Amino acid sequence: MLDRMVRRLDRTLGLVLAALMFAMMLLTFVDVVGRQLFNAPVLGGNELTRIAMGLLVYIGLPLVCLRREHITIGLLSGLIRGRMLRVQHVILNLLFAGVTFIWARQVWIQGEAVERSNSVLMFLQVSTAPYIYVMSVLTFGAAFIYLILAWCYLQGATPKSGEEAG
Amino acid sequence: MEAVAIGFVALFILLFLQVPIAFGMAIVGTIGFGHIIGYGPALKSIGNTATDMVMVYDFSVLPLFILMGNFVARSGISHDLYETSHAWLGHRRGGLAMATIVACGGFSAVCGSSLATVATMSKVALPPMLKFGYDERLATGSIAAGGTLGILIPPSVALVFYGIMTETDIGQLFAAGVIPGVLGIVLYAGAVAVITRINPEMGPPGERIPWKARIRSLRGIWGMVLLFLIVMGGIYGGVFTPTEAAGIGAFGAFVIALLRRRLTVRITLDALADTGRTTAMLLALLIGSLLFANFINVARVPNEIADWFASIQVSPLTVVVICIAIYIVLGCILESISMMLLTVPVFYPVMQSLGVDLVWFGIVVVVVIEISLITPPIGLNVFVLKSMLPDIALTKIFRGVLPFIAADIVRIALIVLIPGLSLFLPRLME
Repeated sequence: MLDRMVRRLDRTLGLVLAALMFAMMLLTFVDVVGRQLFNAPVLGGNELTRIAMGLLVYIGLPLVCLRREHITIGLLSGLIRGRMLRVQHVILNLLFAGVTFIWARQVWIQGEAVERSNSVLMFLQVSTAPYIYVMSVLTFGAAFIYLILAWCYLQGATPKSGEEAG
Repeated sequence: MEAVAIGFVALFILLFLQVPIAFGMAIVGTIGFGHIIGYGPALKSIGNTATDMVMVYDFSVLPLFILMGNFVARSGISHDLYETSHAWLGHRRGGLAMATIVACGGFSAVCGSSLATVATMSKVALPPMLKFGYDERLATGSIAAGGTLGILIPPSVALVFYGIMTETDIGQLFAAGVIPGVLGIVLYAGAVAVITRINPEMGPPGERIPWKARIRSLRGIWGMVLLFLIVMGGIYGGVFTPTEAAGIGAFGAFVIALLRRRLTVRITLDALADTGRTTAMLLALLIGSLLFANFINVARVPNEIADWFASIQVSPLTVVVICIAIYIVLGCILESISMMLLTVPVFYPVMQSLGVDLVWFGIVVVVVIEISLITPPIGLNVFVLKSMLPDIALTKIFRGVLPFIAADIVRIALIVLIPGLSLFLPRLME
């Protein structure tokens, strides 16, 4: 059940991520060619890229959590075994959940600040606030993933990573 | 200063307990900053850093160059690169190992990742070397060492990060990396020549390939060579910004992979999503490192270190050498990009105050970090190689790598003593 959910989430987010990445590549390419050859860059291309960057990172974030791809030091990884390893996993995932939760909350607050300031992007004439809210929600998602992971380890299960499940 | 010392100890404890480096730096940075300035501003700076520092146009250079590398890695070019260098070098003693190194250098000219270089080249270069009776130590050592070239030869993820953190021009850094990168290829090939001179059995020469076939072998790689020339030439000639060049590079690599009929929908989606995840992971690291740097800066650590160096009146060169020593020690426990993100915020203001050229220092840092990829106990490249070749003992690979570490030490000495090696090309750009 859980594995299937992980797989589905991994695939869906991966598809959105891939689409966004492709769009960003095309945008930059068209923008450069337009500027160099026809003296006609994409209007607001720069701002679109900024928004795309934000979304790219924050869509990637839950995926990185799902696949446990955050870089860690592997030096002592073999030292803790058995029951202690389980305890360690539970505590660490709770800690990660806490960290990402605070992170998500601060990003949300930042979004509110941007919204209050009524500032808009020069070319696109839109506020970045809605995108920042999306980024925050995705981070809350990552925090939730860590909570579930902690719960799984507590039950004595070793949850599959997104990659294994996929 | 005490707060920072405690901070570093706490950070290392967290890291050893398997907390991801990004989180570790963010936690310690936020608490440390909060301790000195107040927790309200500390929390606020999380929100700031995690949004403003991500939604930056210039940062798109990172995913675009990574994407370029991912398409290149999936385009099958590594075979052609190896075929070509084999045709040109294979008849020499140790020629296949030299060909491996040149192919690694060529591959990393279009791909910014050392690990990708090792993973790809080990599949391509190892079987022929073993078939021709090459010693396993020389065969694996040349791949692990050749892979380190990926981190320096532009486009380089490490140099992009360094540029972002120190506000140094990324185009200049890329130009500065070219000659030291080529020097790396030459010295590694030299190491192979020395090894096979001492012990000819380790790398017997192959057949001599006629010139006609050599020229023909270039056919498979001209597309990539052209792409590299457009990307680097564009940056170097001031036609493109690095970000624009990355856009062209990624799209060009996509088209080349498409023309080579290597891209299925699935592979394309994989390359794209891979890039997105790597970007997220790297920017999470960057956010963590910036929060940590906030703490270091409000604790005035770089100022104190700089003042201290000024008071004992050592030459800037001595300070650089001390930094190198610190990197070599840290390289035994930390992974390359993390090591850079952790240390550069402390070192670069010190270097700046001593009047050290930051472009040159960037190259020095990246080359030293490169060495950490192959030194025990953590040498990441060696582990990647080991995971792909379960039958070869780890100690054997580490022994095979030793001569190349010697070559690296020669290279870092040359780069430190002759700044012109790094600074010649960027000076021409101005």
